[in-house]
Amino acid sequence: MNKTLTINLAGLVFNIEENAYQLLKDYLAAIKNQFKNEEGCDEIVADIEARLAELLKAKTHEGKQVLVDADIHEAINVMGKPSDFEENTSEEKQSGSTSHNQKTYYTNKTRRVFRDGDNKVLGGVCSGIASYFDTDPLWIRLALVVLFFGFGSGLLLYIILWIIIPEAKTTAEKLEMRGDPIDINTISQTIKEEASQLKNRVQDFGNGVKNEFTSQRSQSVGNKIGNLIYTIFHGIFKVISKIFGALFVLFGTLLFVALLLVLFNVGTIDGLSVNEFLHTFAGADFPMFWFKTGLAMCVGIPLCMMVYKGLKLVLGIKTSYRWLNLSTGILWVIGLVLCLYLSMSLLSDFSEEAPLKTQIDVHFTNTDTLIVKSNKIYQKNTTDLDFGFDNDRWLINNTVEPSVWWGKPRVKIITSENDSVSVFMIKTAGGKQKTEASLRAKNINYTASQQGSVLLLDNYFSFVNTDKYRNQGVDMLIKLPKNKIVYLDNSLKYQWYDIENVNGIGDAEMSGKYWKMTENGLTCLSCTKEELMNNKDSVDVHEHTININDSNAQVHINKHGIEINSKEAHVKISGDGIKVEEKKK
Amino acid sequence: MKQTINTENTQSQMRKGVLELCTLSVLAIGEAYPTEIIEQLKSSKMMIVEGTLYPLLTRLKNANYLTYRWEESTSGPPRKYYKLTPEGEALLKELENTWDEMVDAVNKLLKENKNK
Repeated sequence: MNKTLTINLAGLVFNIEENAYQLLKDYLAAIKNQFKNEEGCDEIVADIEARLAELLKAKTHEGKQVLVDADIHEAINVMGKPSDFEENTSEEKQSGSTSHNQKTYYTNKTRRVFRDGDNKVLGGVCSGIASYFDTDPLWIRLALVVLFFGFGSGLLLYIILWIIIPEAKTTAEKLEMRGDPIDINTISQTIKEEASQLKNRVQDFGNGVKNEFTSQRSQSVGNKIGNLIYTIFHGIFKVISKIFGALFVLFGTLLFVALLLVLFNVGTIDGLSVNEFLHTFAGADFPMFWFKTGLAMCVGIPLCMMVYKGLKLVLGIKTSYRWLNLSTGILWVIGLVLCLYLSMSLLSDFSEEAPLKTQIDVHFTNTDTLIVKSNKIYQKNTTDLDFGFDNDRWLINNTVEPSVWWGKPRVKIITSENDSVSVFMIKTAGGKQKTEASLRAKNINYTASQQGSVLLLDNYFSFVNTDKYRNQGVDMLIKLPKNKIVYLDNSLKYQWYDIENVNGIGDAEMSGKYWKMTENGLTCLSCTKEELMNNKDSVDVHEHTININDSNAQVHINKHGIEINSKEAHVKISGDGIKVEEKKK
Repeated sequence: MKQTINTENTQSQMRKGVLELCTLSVLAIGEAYPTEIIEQLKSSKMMIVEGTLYPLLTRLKNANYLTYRWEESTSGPPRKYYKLTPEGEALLKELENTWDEMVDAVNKLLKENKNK
């Protein structure tokens, strides 16, 4: 089923299909353009129209009343292309080269991009663009070939252009393809024309308004205002859409190149190449190829469409292909599903955690000061990659195969329930099932040992990357009885983790100092006044205690009561009553 | 910029050059409307596409070599019947002479060169 139009051609009425109509219209426009500088142009066109009417009339009969594309094509073949009408009337036209001749005929028709089917190698994209820019197709082809070696982007560009640029099929389109070159002259001419058109419209509008007031036909005024506004906004919209189109093309291309770089393993994420990055998570059984394919589809297709729409906006191409939108949409969904499914399956490997808690065999006397220091089993090599998420940083030694991951343990000191020092090691890892997770946890290498009154802790724990990164971690828990004094060595500065202390000093700053375990946590024995002062105005709220630190006073609230310690006095409110001690000034 | 000589183009240029003469010659027999002229030209292989004729007729008419009258047609739009003016007849004579001379000269030239 096709829509038909009724036209009047040289006084004869024809029913014509929409496509055929467009074809005929373009053809007549091209002819008019051809003869427009000639005396008697209208007459020539009228004669040709009459002949066309005669030819087309012969195509219709009782059984076939509607004109279709083929009829028009046949008639045009009989009449010939406008370029064939070229007459040797003036001498100087003859003297020039043919291509020059043609150009003089095609003046004043804005140039548009078409694929040039007559000079094509593949799809006529290059020759079409070349004639748009008035260059030799060879240069465009060469540029594209060069681009091809840039990750095949030339090929992609070519395919996109092939799809979006329509082929110059009708004579009129071929004329447009070689129409006025876009240069300063034609642009200024176009602007002048538009301006004068606008001026005419405004004048018409003004006259119209004058007339309207006398003839009282106000509806038409509304229409004219509408038309005027439409014209103005249409112009603005055109410019804006071109700017947006250019931006689309620019960013779409840049992002697409970035995507290709990522997929082809160029560029790094936090010191790891993309492939390495993906392989730190993905085991050998992970279908990396499909994941990358999904990623390419999921991200690449919207970028391609962005470039496509952008080019359409810039070049003013209106043709759209339903099949293209539909098929890219389907491909995108497939890519998305692929990506999501594989990501989910990977994430499920983190779902179960199995903490593996073991007590370290240590025997410390309660009188000696406990020294906690690092057994430096590992130090950062220059070849190591420093890789991590937030606070969770890793050193990855890639020089061995499989690579080894080194992570920092977390050391925590809490109050013991009994009178002896006890040390626990908790290894954790993730996995699909608990068994898998605990197996991974077991594979973590970490040791803690006693040397006299020294507790030696490895500064790093490690695992071999055959296990893959599954949120591995080591927590050391040191339980100290009350009044036990401990020295936190500087060598574990960044391993201290969330250690409660009444002075409210940060973990890292706790190193290099002596601490005494009290009911409320560790109390600093060797801190300078400045260090204590630096930590003023802190409020720590714990389950059973509240510590408020201020430059003037410290307040501790716990199950034993409230204790206020200021420069002037020490106040204790407890079950025993209120006790106030004034301090010497 | 193409500078090569296209054979087809040269042939069509030759044809176009003598189209004026042929058209005048067809009209010398009597009145005719474009389609008739075209048919005769086509039968003697003088014309490839019809579009060429219309501008030519209009140009000749505007230069007073032709006149025309309208006639209604039963099968299509009204037709323009063209005929030669006295000036047109004079032009035809002149062109015929030129043509004869040229044909003789060209043939002679071609023959001479072939026999060399």
